[in-house]
Amino acid sequence: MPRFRTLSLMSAAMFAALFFNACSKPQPADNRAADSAAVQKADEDWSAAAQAKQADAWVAFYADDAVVLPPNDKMATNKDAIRKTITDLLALPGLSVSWQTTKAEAARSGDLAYTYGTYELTSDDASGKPTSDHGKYSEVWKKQANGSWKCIVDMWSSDLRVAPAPAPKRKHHAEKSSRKRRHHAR
Amino acid sequence: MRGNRSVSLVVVASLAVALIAGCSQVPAPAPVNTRKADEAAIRAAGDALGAAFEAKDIEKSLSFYVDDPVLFVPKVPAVIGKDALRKAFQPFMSLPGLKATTSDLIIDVAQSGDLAFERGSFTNTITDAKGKTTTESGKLVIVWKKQADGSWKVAADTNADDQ
Repeated sequence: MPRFRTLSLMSAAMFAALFFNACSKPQPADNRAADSAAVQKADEDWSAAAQAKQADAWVAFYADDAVVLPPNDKMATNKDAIRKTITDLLALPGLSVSWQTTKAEAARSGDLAYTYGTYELTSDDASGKPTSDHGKYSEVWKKQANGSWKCIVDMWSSDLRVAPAPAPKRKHHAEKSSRKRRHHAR
Repeated sequence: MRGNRSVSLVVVASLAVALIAGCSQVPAPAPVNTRKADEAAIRAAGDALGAAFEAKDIEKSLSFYVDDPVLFVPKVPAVIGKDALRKAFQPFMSLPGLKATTSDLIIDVAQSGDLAFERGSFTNTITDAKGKTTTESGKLVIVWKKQADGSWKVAADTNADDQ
């Protein structure tokens, strides 16, 4: 009799332990550091992939529902428009483009993240002379069903007051007006 | 002896029931979905920021930003930190007859309700003393972060123009 009592007490204790283990976890594990690192890596891989100057390699980093918000142009809200925006950018004569992530931060739930950073871009002007541009970008990322991170919002703008004169094909980075300097959107 | 075995089986079984019931009833603390409320709070904060801006109230406008915000606008390098934002806002606020409006705002809140993103369009109109108006339009992307007190503040305010 005492033996069995001991047994049932033991099972009770075991179940209590199981119960607390399974049920009293206050929050899902905090993976923010790993998620933020993964997003930063994706952004760095993207800049590396951009060196191939192929639209396919570039747009592979966008989610299916991405939007691209280039300067001096309307936003591109579907895959065809995005491909055109990127194809035009990659067609700049003498193009060299790269970027560096300044910050990458994921939400606690690991479904959304953002990055921002700076870019450098060189291309030839109408006379064939290399001209350089630099600026900053902001991106929003969404974790996909397979665990990878894809960009859903991509926006950038030049730091330069007046961008270099546009080459004939140049559509997205030059065409700067000499309008009054504007500081804020709201 | 037999009786005792049954007792312990009953104990085990009832604990198992308690375990299953307990687990399925506790609505796993995290998934309290506050996204709708968060979205409404962000819209309200954005509207209040816009109103403060139009009222040329720099300090009130800045109160809607985190302590270490970034501001990305075309034609100038990244503006980093509150003091730099204050300096950047001053000339913009002094533009004559400034009207700044936003439209088509889409807000996406993380499931955990700590981060959110807003994107949309903006139009800035200035009217000079002679009544001549100049309009600029563009796109905006804003990163919002929930603060310890539950309020939402802007961590990154970024835009690019259409022209």
